[in-house]
Amino acid sequence: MDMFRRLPNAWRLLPLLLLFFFLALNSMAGDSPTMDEQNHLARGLAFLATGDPHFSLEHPPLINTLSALPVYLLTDVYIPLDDPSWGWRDGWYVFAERLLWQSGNDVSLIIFLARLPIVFVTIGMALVGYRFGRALWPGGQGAALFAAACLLFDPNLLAHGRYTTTDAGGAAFLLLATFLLWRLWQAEGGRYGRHLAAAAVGLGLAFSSKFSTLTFAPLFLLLAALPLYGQPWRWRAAARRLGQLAAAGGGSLLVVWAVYGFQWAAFDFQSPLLQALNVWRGSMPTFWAGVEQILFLSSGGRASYLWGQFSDTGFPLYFPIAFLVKSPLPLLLLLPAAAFILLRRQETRGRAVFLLLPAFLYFLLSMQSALNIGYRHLFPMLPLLYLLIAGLGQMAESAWSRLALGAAAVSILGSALLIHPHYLSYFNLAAGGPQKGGEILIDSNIDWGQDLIRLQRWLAANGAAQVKLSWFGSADPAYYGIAYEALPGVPRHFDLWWNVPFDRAQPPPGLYAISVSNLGEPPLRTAEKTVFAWFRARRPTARVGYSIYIYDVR
Amino acid sequence: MTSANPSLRQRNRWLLAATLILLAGAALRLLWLHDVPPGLAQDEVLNADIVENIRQGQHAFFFREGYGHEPLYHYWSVPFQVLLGDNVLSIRLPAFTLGLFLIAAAMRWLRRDVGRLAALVGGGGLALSWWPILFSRVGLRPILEPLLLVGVAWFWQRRPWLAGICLGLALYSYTAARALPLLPLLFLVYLAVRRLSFRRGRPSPAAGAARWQPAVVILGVCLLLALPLFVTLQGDPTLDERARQLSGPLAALRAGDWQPIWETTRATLGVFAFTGDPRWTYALPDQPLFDPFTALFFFGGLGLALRRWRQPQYGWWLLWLALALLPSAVTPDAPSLVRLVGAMPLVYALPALFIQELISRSERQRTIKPAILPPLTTIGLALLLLLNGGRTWLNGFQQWPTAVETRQKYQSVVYEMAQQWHHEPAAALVVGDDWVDPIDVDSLRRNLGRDPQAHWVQGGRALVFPALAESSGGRALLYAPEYAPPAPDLLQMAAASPEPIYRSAGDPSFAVWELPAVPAAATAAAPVTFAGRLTFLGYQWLPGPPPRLITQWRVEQALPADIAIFAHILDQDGNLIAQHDGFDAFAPTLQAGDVVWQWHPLPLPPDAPPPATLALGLYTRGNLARLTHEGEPADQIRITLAEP
Repeated sequence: MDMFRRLPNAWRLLPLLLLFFFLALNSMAGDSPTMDEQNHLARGLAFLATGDPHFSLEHPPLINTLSALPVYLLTDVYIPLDDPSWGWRDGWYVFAERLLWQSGNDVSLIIFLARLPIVFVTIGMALVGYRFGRALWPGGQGAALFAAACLLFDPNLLAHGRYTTTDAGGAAFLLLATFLLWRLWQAEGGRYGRHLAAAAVGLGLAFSSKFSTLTFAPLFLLLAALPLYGQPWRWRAAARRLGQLAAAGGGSLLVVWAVYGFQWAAFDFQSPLLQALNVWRGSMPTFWAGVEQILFLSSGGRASYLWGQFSDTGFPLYFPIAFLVKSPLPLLLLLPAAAFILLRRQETRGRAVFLLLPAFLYFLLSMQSALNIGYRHLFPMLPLLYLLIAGLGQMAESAWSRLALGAAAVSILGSALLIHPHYLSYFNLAAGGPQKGGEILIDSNIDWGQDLIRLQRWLAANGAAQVKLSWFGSADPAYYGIAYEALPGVPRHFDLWWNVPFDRAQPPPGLYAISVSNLGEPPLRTAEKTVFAWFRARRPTARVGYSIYIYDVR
Repeated sequence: MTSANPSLRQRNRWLLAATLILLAGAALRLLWLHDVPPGLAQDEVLNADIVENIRQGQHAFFFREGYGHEPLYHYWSVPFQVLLGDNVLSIRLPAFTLGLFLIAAAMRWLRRDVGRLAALVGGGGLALSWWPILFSRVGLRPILEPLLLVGVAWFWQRRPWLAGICLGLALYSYTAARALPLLPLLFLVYLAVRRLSFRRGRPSPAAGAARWQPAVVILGVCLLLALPLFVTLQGDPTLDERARQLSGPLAALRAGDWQPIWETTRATLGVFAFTGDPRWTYALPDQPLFDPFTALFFFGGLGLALRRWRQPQYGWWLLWLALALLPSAVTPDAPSLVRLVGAMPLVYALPALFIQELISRSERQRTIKPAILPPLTTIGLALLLLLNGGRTWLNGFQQWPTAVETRQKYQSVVYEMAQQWHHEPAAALVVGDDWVDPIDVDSLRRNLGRDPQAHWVQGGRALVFPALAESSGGRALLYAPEYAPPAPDLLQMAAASPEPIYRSAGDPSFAVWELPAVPAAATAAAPVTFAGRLTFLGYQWLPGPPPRLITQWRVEQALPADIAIFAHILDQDGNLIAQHDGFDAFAPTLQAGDVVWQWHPLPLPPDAPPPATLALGLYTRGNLARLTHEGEPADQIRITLAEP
């Protein structure tokens, strides 16, 4: 213990980083490719192979490219650029299907390699959180360490911090941008050129990693205007910060353009309002088309599920409930306390507002969104909340606050160890844990297609030669050697929802494996949801992970 | 981060330079990993087999496979196979990681024992030279040995027990390390000689004190650790086949013939500037380790170490070098890059020592203006590293992998077939080979990272028409290298186009033919099933000249690996006048429903009577037992041949 105390502060992170690395690698090797991963990987690989970012409409290319880099450099992956889908505007679904499941590629290897950079990005997020924590709460022993530990072991962040998706990466680069802006606005006098350039790069990386980070642009404007940086409010100081932000924002566009490979082509807008611009050529038209597309998607929405109800337009309470049932309890318990204590104290108020305000506003904005498909969309605010709670550590005179932080960190680490390797399905104890999770939320909150390899192992261990499978996931069960009879699924065998291949009133005997998400029959309207009613009324015989229920019908 | 503190600034610059060297080393070891070397060597495939066996619980102090393998590298490889699967990356990444650790460890060791500059030069040499790069790119075990020897060098004075562990583990890394336990023993002798030399003259103040105790500890720990290996090898001398294969020069020496060992020793000593490994396996043949210019620095460093032999550090270095050269000096095909691998860190430490000394002297004696010395040093070193890097690039990355000899060693054809297979992975696959070896089957699987369920045939002798699964789209493709093309008779009879639909550009190349659906037998016979395994469907008699026969069979269930068809041609009186035995489809890769066409060459003596009867049957080569069917005679089918 003494040896640990004598270590330089940053070195204390090392065991945490190693533990995270082990947990991440150990768990991700057993997770089949989740629903969106193949599309992200396909975009990244195609961009690396051709320099053409036209597939990066829904997601900017930074994280996808990072993910694809080891696959592109280290393997002999076959990229099906001869497939017609490569020429389509939104051909990535077909292209990704061909890349992963129809080209004979070694899927296990390329998915593992594609996930590795995300693991490192998550580690980077924890390091930025550590550095930010030290900058925000310089007096607090262990505050930074606490923030880093939470960013590493929050089961939700750990879950997505191992997948080839943009959620963890977006949160990481957004945290970096927020930290660099904080440093910029803390810089004294006129010597801020270096900080300004760094902030521009940080913002550029954030905007190149996920479109939803653009939501923070107006929030940063608000933070620039407010007197949160140690001095009383003066309009000149506020104007200077706004000017800096504008300059950094302008610079960030250069970074985004660089990430898009300095694309220069004709604009490609689809909405009648903007189509007139398509006669012009300009920089990164895919980015601008992506901004347009993501706005359409967010306003349109997809089928969402909340506590037994489905909606095409989303639920206003989706994210509040998701936050309550999916967040680790220490976050829920300590957040109000931290907000209350740190906002009350004048010396910490500015920093608390800097963290809390964008998180709160982002949360409110999320509640307006019709795209209610996962807690992961709240990730951008989570680092800010953990940093806020870490502020309790600054109160060195208060033993209980340090104790609370210590207990919280241990509790979060304990949650991660207990749920290992099923991080994606994490639900807190108050919500009943992952066993009850499927009743509250589905999709990427519990069942994103991660358990196919475990299903194959379960079938082998139980001597089952064949299974009737209703699969929620893009991975191909045949690739994993699963001999199955298809039941209605998403996206595979989608047509069977309207052409059900069994007697839904009395399913014939056999072994049924049904994804939790499919039990709710997401493609069907409420009145039509009778396909799996027989199964919903019964307890499963067994469970694979927390996302596939097994019914042994005799 | 900038600092006004010059030593901190210097340290940061060193760290930056060391990081750049590591990055360059990593890049040269990682990039184009599938293409350089251009395919998997049989030893790499075999290593992956050993790792697979370990994962299945087969542990050993020494593995019998591949004429005997030390186990440590294979255990190091296990987590790579677990995490990455069984493929080229998991075969080669373990060596990559060890190669990278070797650069880092050598730099740290040289920084402590010689100086910062020497660390960068030595590290740069290891990072950019082909020899260490190649052994970090192939999935072979030797690269572990030099890393452990750097560990020995690091610990030998301060933590001798750890040095002993490293030395003991080195014995579990590679066969060439077996001479190394002599190192502490010879060091004791060296100490005695050194003491004697001091009695004759005054000891130099630089010579430093040397204690004998660490060498004893190292030797003791090493021997203790080596005991299980020693007992294992003593218990079963047949395990260590490779050591016996290489014992030619030593055997000659024991018989009083000095010539072979003189040749191998001379060749080994010249490897730094004059001679090179004669084989294509690891580099262009007959290329010395250094270009003439860098070799001067090496010999300068060697001279310096010899001049300072009384200093224990250099005494240790010289003994290490001598012992590491020994395995190549006493075995055939010298100099052998692989058996010299224990010398690798020293080979790059010696030029580094010389350069460090040159610069230090210049600083002390001010032979060069102090202001221009640092930039001059930087430029000089950059040029030296560029020279080595350029040589590596041209010889290692450009010429060596494209040479036909290298491509044959690494079975490039199998690798290129795997690449082509991606264009139509659903089609059923038949692969021809000149001599089907299970290791080739594994090689194709590992090149792909998955099992393509290929049906293998001895090219030119057999064809397989796979039982087409629905997923194959009704298509079957035959891939055959140019040295094992399908027999024209077989293609003609199958009504397949004699022209392939694809031919690769490599040398040797391969071609792809589309196989038609199973054609009917030319002369259909009533199906006869032997032992429920193989059904005779028909035949085609081609009277020639020379006479040939094609027989057609359907697989009913898994076949024994050593199954063979006998085809006997009998005359009117029932005398055997020609025969052919063989089954040139690789039985373990066949599945129920596959149809096999076997081509039988049946050269008749010029004075032979006309063929009258064909006798066909099956047997297993292992026990020569014939398979039977329900007819009479039960062990063969007799067919009357039409007169030509």
